[in-house]
Amino acid sequence: SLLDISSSSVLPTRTKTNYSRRSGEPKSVKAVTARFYRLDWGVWIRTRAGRASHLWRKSKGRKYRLRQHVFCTKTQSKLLDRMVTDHYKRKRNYVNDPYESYQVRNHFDKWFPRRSKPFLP
Amino acid sequence: MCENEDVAHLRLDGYRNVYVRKRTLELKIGNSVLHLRVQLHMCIQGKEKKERIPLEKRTNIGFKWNKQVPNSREVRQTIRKRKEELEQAARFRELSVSVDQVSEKWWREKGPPTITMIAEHYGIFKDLFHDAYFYPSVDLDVCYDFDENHDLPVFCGNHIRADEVRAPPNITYTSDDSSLWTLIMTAPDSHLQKTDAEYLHWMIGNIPGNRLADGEELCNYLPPFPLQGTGAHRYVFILFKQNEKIDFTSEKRPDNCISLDQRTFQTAEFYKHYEDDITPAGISFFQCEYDESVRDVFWDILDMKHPSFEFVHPPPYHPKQKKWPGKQPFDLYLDRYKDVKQINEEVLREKLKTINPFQPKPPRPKYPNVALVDKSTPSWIKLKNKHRRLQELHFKDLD
Repeated sequence: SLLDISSSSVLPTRTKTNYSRRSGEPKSVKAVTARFYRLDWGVWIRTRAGRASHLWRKSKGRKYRLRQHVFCTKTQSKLLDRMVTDHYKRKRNYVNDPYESYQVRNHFDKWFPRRSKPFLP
Repeated sequence: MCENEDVAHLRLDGYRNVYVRKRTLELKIGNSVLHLRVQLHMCIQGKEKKERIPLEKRTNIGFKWNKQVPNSREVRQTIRKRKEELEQAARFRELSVSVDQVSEKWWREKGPPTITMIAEHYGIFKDLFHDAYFYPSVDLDVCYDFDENHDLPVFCGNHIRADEVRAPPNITYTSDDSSLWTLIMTAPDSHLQKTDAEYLHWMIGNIPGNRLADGEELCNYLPPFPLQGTGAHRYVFILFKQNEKIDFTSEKRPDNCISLDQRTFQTAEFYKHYEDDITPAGISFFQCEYDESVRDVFWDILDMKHPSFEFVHPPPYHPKQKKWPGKQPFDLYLDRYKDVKQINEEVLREKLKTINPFQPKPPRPKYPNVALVDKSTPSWIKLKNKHRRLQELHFKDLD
């Protein structure tokens, strides 16, 4: 049965635990926190695959591009948000944080203004 | 200046001072045609340029300049005769050329039109005399004292520092003792309110011959005050020759005049008023930029707060920001849309972390990149840290 942990039929899974055994609280997926970094405005950042392997056969430009840390797409970011707990979504103020200036979008309200609902009496 | 109605839907509201030419390109183009949008943004609104009337067709208000062209046949003959002896002297390093003779020859043959050409290029005739021109007939030599053994001469547009022009210069020119002259020093670029007026820095009238001390000082010397952020200002010395003694009481400013209103001046109007009696005969000008000593001129001499300006460059064109930018390097993408002032603030904060007011600034390392890079730093920061160490790009202000 599922309650029998020592049984070899129960294999470890990578899906999200919504209710942990000990405390009954959701758990974040460690695979996500190890590979991605969340910025306060909702986007997740990742490194590029292949940035440390077979570099001898890759051109200078390709290596430069592989070294960059890139955004995840909207659906990816939304998915990753669901896979972690609120602990990873809190705003943090670190000393000498290199990501500090990137936690906020600039001129965002001008480019994407919040549409106020029209008043229909 | 800024026609936002035309380009409102380009959403460049966040940026000021947008110059856009009348649209010939259709603006409803996709992101793939980025280079065309950049061109559109970079175009400057075309004011139809007035063609400049060439010098020969304008009025000459100075003395006539007799062009002395050397007789080429005679020149060739003299060269042929003296060639052997000159060549020998040159090879034995005994040939000496009299610099005075050369400069005198230059003045006779080419000096005045060259100076006029330079003054025309600097826009002095356009701004001071409303396009009338003159050939300088007198070699006006203006010299600021630098120290005991050195002088700072004023030629045609040379740059001189503001702290070196605090005292009035020494002026010499060849003249008859019986002739009368007027000297004016104006600044066409410094005026704080009007676009077509100048400030009078110095005026001496009825100068007998060469002796400035014996002339009537109508306006005492005010050191130049080029404003901060406005670049180089021109300061022009003009020497007029008088036919007779002129009554300059209407031009007389009070002693130690610090009122900028009273010093507001228009050379063209002044010349028109005394047109019959004076002719421009000499010209010399220099350029001066803002310096910390200019603050002292404002505070101590003019007794006013010193105005400072900042040039706001039109921001570079970037495509519209996206909510979810996708597979783009995050730091480079977000840096593009940061305000320049925010970037400067970040650099300043970094600088303030290292400053200790009680200790002298440590010297810059000779080879900053020799230090080993910490392996734990993320790869995207490594290039930034390199710029930081070498104080390149926007990190220049870390100094």
